[in-house]
Amino acid sequence: MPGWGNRLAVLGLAACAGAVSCAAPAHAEPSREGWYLGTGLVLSDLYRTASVSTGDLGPVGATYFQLQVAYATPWLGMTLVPSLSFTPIARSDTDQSVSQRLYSLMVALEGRASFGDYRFGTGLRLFQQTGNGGSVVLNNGNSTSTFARPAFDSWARNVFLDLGLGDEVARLGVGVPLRLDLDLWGTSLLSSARALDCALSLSVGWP
Amino acid sequence: MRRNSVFFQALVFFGLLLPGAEARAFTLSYSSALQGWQGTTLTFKTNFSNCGMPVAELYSAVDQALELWNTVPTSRLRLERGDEVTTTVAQALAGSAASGLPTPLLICDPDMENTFRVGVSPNLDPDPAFSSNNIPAVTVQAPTALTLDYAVLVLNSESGRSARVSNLVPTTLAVVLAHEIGHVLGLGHTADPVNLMYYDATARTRLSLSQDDMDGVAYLYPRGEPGQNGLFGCGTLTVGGEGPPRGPHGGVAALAEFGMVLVLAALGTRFLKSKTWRMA
Ligand SMILES: [Zn+2]
Repeated sequence: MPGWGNRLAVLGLAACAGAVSCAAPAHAEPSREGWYLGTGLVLSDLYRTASVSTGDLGPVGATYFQLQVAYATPWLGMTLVPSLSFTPIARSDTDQSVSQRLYSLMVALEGRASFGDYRFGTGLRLFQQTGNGGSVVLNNGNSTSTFARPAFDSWARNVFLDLGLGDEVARLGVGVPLRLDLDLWGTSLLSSARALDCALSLSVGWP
Repeated sequence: MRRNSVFFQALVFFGLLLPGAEARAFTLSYSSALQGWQGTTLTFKTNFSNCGMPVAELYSAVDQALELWNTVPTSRLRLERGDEVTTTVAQALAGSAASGLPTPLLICDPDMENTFRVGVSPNLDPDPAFSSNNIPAVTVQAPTALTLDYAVLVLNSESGRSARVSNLVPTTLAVVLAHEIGHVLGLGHTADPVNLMYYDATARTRLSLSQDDMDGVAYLYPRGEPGQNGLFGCGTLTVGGEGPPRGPHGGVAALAEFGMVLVLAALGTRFLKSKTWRMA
């Protein structure tokens, strides 16, 4: 589905630019408080992975469905938001040879601006791959060979920088806030492996 | 009171249209329990004395191929090109980690068909059907137990053969090298032509990694920030550098990354300026 990742990246950039020019004064009232439970998607590796057999790149690498819990609390005139997200249903191939999950632990500082809440923070991105073993026969040169499927648990972890934007989009029945948030996670920003993930989440709060 | 902006309504709409999980996978070269090479830096030596093409062109393709594998953010591994050596094909293919020969080694073989039809060393099973007309390169490994510690990447430089490296256009040469380097790292083939590790690279016109290729190298060489590896890619991956290949609109992603660093610095400075004096 070409195009969506690009638009999201554009929106993310717009959000970044907005955060600079429209940031609320530091003494603005903290925007929210309490627990938030949410669901969402992490679109990994924007514009850097092959998506067709020619090797041309697609807008998004892997997509992970996420559950998220966050706690918002006033701090120094802003809002401190620690959060945790994880993949409840692993991403896997049809043979279930590798199961992949993404976990994130993040702390962000949030401010209020005319367009919504903006935040910046840092976090840890944990990428778990669990192999189920076995083998598969595939083409190799002029004949075929047996290749092994991974059998272990492997965890890769990256520290990332976060820039995000969010706002309350509705009030549900008994005054429960419904929020929409968009975050950009930058990993390995100082190296040639720099990558960008986009996290989109919808969450409900309770006081 | 909060406002429901058009911006957020648009995001809800996009969110509903985003794709679900894909069905893909990677494989390992010979054992499910493979652990890859030890350490974080792997230096590839070369013997390009019999390649039948300008060595500078080969170096350029090798550097591109190595750098491609350095663009995986979830991998700790850093690949680099080392010195030119004088090891011969016969010596290299008969070697192992115990022999002390330079490894991993990239070497041109002007007699490649014979080398693989006969199977010149205990590391090779004879393959009477081997043809140097359609195989530009082969990777041979002689691992000790489950840790990779010896590999030879043989490049086809056989005169008059269509798959010899001098017949390949620069991008295809870099693609072939990157695929074989994937084998050196311990990756096997996949069934999906999107992947660099698909067995047939003829459709590929661009040097790039798929998500599966990246996941495979991350599986074998998981990055460990903080603690084991430097923050934000420092220490092992190429600091600065050209960065990963980008798509047709990749400038947007690159701009967003640059914007992130700038905005974060600006907000951080602003926050410190406004807060530091009130904390006492
Ligand atoms: Zn191969």
